[in-house]
Amino acid sequence: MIDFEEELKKFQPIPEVKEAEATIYERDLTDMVDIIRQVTQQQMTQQMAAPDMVRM
Amino acid sequence: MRCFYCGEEIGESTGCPLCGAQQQVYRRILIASDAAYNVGVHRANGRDLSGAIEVLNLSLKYNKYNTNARNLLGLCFFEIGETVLALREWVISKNLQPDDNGADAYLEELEKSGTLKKLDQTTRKFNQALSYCRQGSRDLARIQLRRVLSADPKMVKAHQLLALVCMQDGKYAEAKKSLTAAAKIDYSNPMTMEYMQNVLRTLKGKGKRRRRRGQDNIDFSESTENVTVPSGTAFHILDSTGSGIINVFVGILLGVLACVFLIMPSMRQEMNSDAASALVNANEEAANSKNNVATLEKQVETLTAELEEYTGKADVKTSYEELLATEEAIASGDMETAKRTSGDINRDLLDASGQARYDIVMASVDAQITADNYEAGVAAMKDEDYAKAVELLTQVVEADAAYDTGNALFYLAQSCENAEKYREALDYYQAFIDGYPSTRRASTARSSINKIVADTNLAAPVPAAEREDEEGTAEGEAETPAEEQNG
Repeated sequence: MIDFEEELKKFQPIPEVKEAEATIYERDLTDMVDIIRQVTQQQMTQQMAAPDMVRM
Repeated sequence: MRCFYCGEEIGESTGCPLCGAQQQVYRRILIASDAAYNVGVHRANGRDLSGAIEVLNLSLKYNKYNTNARNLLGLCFFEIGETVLALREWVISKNLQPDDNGADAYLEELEKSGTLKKLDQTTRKFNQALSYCRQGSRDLARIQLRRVLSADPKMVKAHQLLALVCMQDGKYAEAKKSLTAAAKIDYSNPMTMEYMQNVLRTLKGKGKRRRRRGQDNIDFSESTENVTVPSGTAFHILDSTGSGIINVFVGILLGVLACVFLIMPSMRQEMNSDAASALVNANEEAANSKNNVATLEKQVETLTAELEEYTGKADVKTSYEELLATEEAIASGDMETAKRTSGDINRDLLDASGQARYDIVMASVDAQITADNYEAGVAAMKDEDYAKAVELLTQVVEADAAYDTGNALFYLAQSCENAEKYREALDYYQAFIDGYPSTRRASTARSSINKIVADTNLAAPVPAAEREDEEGTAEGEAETPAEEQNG
């Protein structure tokens, strides 16, 4: 049986056009490429700090 | 292909010649992103928009620069009525790839002809409807949601919310309609599916309960109500398919009878009433017209009478012109012209100064006319044309009774005597005697009076002095009875 109040909570107001700018800025654009970039950067930093370590 | 770390062109090599970063993982990420995008395209084509949105988001999580995935994601959002989310994806897409981007066309389409404004209004109405639901005003919410769906039939959330409200109010048939419409837009939407299952389960359960009662009831799934009617009733019999045609004929017959006995008499009465009213109005107008005619006729008579006073006389301009001409004629001694022009002057049309000049002019003209009449009258007497003499000398005497020291009056009396107008002769003789008693002609007048009285047996005229005495006596006798009464 569907609970009306519980189901109603699942409905959120749809953003209006005036809120489009905020919606765009809130969008998290971090993707996996950014993550591997960060990982690669960390690795390179570590390698430079410890040149004796084996490179990947 | 470029290195993900430094951007150096790496071609097909596994490591970057510049920074040394390994590219295998990066390449796998790109492949995964493209694979997710392909699945998204497949699902979008099959109207599984919720599924397409899910995998496209995944594709962008792998690689945010996958422009095709982002643009398709925007399209999917737009299709289910999430306009701002669509706008967001296209704007981001345009920022990440400014050139050669399909999002340009979508953004232009939104901006032209006020599309974005209309969709924004629809969004506001949906939010208002949601607010009504939270306040408990489900009726208002239902009305508002219907308006939203008439403006944007593809808003899946509006369909779902409307279905939820209908289910809460027990209107499962209407809820099913909304959910069916939502499923056509996005068939795999989890919420839509869940609600639809609930609705079908509820409707099915109701059908089972009716069958369990052992009655072949009729279930009317109307747009707003579920009506259950037990079988075997008269209503069922009447509503069965076989008697449908009979019902139609019965309905037509009843309608005809209602027209004949109810509607037509009232229509006829109304028509008669209208005709009577029109007749009364016409009669009133005729009566008014007659009164108006009578009034107008009186006005015409009055105006005609006034006009006759002015007939033969000149208007204002001409009157002044004739007045000037008359003055000039008098000044030049042309009395004939003066007499002629003065006759065309309308004194009433002149102003005060004009009338004063007119009086002066006419005094001269009248004096001239009197003189001319006197001369002509005397001449007529000598010619024994006594009738003409009487006419002319009468005008002279009327203008001036003492003209020519009373001789005009004496000649008039003689003309009347010779014209056998004895009564007038006696009066004129007496008038002359009264005015000029000591003259030689007065004696002649007395002799003539005696002769006429003797010849005609007419009463002798009473001298003026005796007439005044008699009038004074008559006034005294008239006053005495009143004094005796007061006494």
